Amino acid sequence: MRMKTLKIALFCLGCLSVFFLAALITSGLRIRRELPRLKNSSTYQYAGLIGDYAFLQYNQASSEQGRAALLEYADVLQRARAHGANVPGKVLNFQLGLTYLRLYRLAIATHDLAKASDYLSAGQKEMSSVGHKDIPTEELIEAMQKREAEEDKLYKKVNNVPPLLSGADHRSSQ
Amino acid sequence: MKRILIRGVCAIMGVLFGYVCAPAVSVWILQSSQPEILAGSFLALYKNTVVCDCLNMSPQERKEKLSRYISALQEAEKKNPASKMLSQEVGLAHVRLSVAEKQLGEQVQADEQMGMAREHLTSLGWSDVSSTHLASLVAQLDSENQQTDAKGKPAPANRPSSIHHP
Repeated sequence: MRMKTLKIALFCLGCLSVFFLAALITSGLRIRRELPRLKNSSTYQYAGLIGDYAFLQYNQASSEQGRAALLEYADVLQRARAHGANVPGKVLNFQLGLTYLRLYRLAIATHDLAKASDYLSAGQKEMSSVGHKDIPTEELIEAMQKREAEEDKLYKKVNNVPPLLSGADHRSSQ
Repeated sequence: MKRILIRGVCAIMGVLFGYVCAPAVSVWILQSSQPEILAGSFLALYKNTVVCDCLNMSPQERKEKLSRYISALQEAEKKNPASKMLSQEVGLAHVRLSVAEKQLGEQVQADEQMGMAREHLTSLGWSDVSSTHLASLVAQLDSENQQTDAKGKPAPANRPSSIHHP
């Protein structure tokens, strides 16, 4: 009787082991495939959210608040790059480039020329990898001014926007 | 033979269990390693549902949905009071709710919501917090979100700050 009970218990233990081993292997395989995908999509959505926030702070708030938000966004994008998030390379470069160029504009407005120069170089570097390699610095700055005038028109409903400056608009590459 | 069959059934059950549990475990792993990103992505998803869906709803339905959204945002804000992104989102949600209440003829509540929106956005350093400007800004943002929703893209082309393919 005791032997039979032991045999049944051993059999049940064996069945449980088979169950958990199969579960472990299957979930391990699926997690290995799903986790990077989940990380990528989460990073992409999070970056979009922070991007919207940073843009509105830059466009609507004081330059100090705008700078803080843009730096936060740049940090999120840099971390996404460091973690190898599957945000399409050009999107990442373009958004980082745009963020650095906005930071450049803020630094110029506050006469922080050293930082402005750093941001401009960083922006140019990012933009050069999305097909704007040979754009002269002046044209890139003009394009940024043009873009900002358009943004003011859209989000601040500014009607008396100064005449749009000529130059290559970096959105032409979109 | 019977024992082999039972073990086979156990193996199949295990495979099914593992397959079903894997997404939840993945979320748990991400929650442990990068809680900020996961919470942000959930918020982005919730925002998309509220903002995009709300445009096709009646003002009453929009009001209810926005009220729930604001409650969720306030809960998140309690956990992370330093987040300016959450504060901005709460402010903009109050503007949206104010617009919906105005459409319903509830002027007093609409003014209250606009007041709360102003409080949030002023604390974030916004220069123009007039009702007209905020309502027009939110209308612009929502129209872009609706275009995005229709195209199924993550961000509209004319919203320069959102991630979109260059």
